[in-house]
Amino acid sequence: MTATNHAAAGALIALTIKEPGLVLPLAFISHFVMDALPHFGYPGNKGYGEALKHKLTYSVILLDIIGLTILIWFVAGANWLTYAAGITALLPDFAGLYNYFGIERNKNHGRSNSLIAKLHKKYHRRLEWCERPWSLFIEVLLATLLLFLIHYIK
Amino acid sequence: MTATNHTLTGAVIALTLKNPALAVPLAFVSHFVLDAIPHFGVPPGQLVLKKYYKIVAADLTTAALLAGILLIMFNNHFWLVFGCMALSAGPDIVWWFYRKNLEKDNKTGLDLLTRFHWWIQWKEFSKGIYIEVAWFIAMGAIILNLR
Repeated sequence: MTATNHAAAGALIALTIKEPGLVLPLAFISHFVMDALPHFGYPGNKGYGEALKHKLTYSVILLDIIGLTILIWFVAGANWLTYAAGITALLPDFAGLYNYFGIERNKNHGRSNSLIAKLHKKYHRRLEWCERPWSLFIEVLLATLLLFLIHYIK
Repeated sequence: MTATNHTLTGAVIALTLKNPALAVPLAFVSHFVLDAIPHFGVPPGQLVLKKYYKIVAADLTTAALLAGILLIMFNNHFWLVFGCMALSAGPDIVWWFYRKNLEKDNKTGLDLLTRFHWWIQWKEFSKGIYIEVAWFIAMGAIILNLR
C-alpha cells in the first residue's frame, strides 16, 4: 500500500487515541491491516522488483509524494505523537526496501538469511494477497477517506 | 472474523468518531476490512456446521455480553454504539442463509455483496485465533482508554 495511506492511518490513530503506549503499537499493527486489503501492485508477490518494471508504478510514486505532502499539510501543528505514529505505521515497508535494494537488486544472497529478510518474506509479503493495478482505485478512495477523517478530527 | 471482534470494532468506531453520518457507514465497511485480515475460521468446503456451531454459539454469546456491557458503559451514546456494533457484525447474518454454499464451497446463487464478502475472506485458518486474540486486546485497550 502507498506510503500516504500507511502514514495517514498512523496519524489518524494518534489523533483519535492520544495515549503513546497504545498509539505506537497500534500504528505499527495498522501497517499489516492495511496491507491485507486489496491495494496497488502487481500479482506474483515479487514486491518492488516486479512493480518497478511498470510505468504506472512511477505515476503512483508521484501521486504518493503529492499525497504525503497533503498529509503533512493537514497534520501541521499536531503533537509529536502524530508524526511518530505516521512514521511507525510506515516502518515495515523499510524492510521491503532493504529486501529489494540490499538483497534482490544487488544479488546479495548472503543477506537473504537475515532475520528482516525472512520475516518480510514469510509474513509481510504473504499478507499482500491482492496486489493489482486496478486496486489503485481502492488506494485513492482510502486516501480520500483517511485525509477527510484527519481533517475532521483535527 | 469473530462476531466479538466485529462488535468491538463497531463500538470503537462509534466512540472515536461520535458522528453518526461518518461512524455508521464506516462501521459497515469495517466488517469487510476486518475480514480481509487473516483470521480464525474454517475454509469453505471444509466447514461442517454441526461441528462448528458450538464455537459460533460461544462467539455470539460473548459478543452479546460485551455489547450489553458497552451499552451500559457508554449509555450517553447508546444508539450510536448500538447501531455501529450491529452494522459492524451484521453482514455475517447472510452466512446463515448461504450455509449450504459454505459447506459445499459452491458460489452459485450468491448475491453480489456476498460474493465480495466470500472473496475478501482469503485466509481463514485455525491459527488465526492468535490474530483474533491480538485484535480483541487492541480493541479492548482502545475502549478502556476512551472510557
